[in-house]
Amino acid sequence: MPKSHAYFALFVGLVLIALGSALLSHGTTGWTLIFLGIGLPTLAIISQQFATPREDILIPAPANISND
Amino acid sequence: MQLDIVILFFLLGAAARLIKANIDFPKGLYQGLTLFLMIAIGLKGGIALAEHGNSSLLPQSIAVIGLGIVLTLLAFPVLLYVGQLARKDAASIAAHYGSVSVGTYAVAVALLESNNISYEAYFPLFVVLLEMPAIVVGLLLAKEAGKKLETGKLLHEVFCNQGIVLMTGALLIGYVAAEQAHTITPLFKTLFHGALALFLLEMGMVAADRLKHLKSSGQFILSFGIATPLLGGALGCVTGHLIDLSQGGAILLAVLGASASYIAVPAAMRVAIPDANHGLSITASLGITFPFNVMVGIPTYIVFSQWMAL
Repeated sequence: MPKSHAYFALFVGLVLIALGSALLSHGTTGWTLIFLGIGLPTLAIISQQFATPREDILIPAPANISND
Repeated sequence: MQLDIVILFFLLGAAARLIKANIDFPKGLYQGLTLFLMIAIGLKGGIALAEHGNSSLLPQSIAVIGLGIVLTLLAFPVLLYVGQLARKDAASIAAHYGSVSVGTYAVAVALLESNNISYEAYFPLFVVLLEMPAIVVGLLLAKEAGKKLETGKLLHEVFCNQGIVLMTGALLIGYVAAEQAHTITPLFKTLFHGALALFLLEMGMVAADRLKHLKSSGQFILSFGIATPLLGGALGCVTGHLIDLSQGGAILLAVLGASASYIAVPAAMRVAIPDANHGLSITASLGITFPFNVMVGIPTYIVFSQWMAL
């Protein structure tokens, strides 16, 4: 996943948290927005972690295999 | 703000699909309910136009059409440059978000009525007006350099899709035959909320079905499907206050700005841009934005409008 997507998700998350915080006095709407604001960037970061190949677990390519 | 009874049906449908309960909602019933809601909304607006229409409608209508164009033009570069989508996909999704969801509008109307917030009764005129511009702008944005645009096809998709024909037709009928409306309002007015509840039951199941497509659509579409309604809602609310709509009217314009079409525009885009990724646009508008607006967005726009009125 390109980094721009993760940054976008983070930006949206921050907006949601800010909006949710302002709406806390209006019941579940505020908490739902905060929950979404935390959840979105978290999902983005997790999905980016799993999408990025990790050098330490890659199996090295085998040497040329002989057909003998 | 407590969840409205019609929204509880949406949650029921979603929960039923998630636990794999076998509810066989007839396709014909869903289509019938869609027709019913469009006709009911158009008819109500036409009757109100006959009773309350005035000269301020023209500048308000122009502003509403402008809102639809602006929303499409704002969404497109985000999809193209941040989302890195193909031009046709970006244009198609932008057109969805520049247009309106009649279902979301119906939910907002139900919420305003249950909270005793008054609004302009001729508002369905704006729903009809906001359906069209995004389709035109979307097709123009999707047009590749050097290729000729098929004007006839474009005009047909703009003016002859189901939503436009039914709502405009019902609006005109309500306007012309307002004094006879009492003969049919027992069906279209009294049964409106019940029909909406059934419609949302099916929509809950459909939205839950789209959730599995989120994995392939990616994080960007999920974020876009939540951020764009908030931006569109804010712009709609500001526009509503600028054109002197009532608080309820500003809320409804916010809802229209925040909503994304999943009936009229998908059908138009399938014909006009057949090789765009239509699954992506439906996942965004139906799987993400519609549930977001119904459960969280509409109460948010109500509060935002109340802030603006202070």
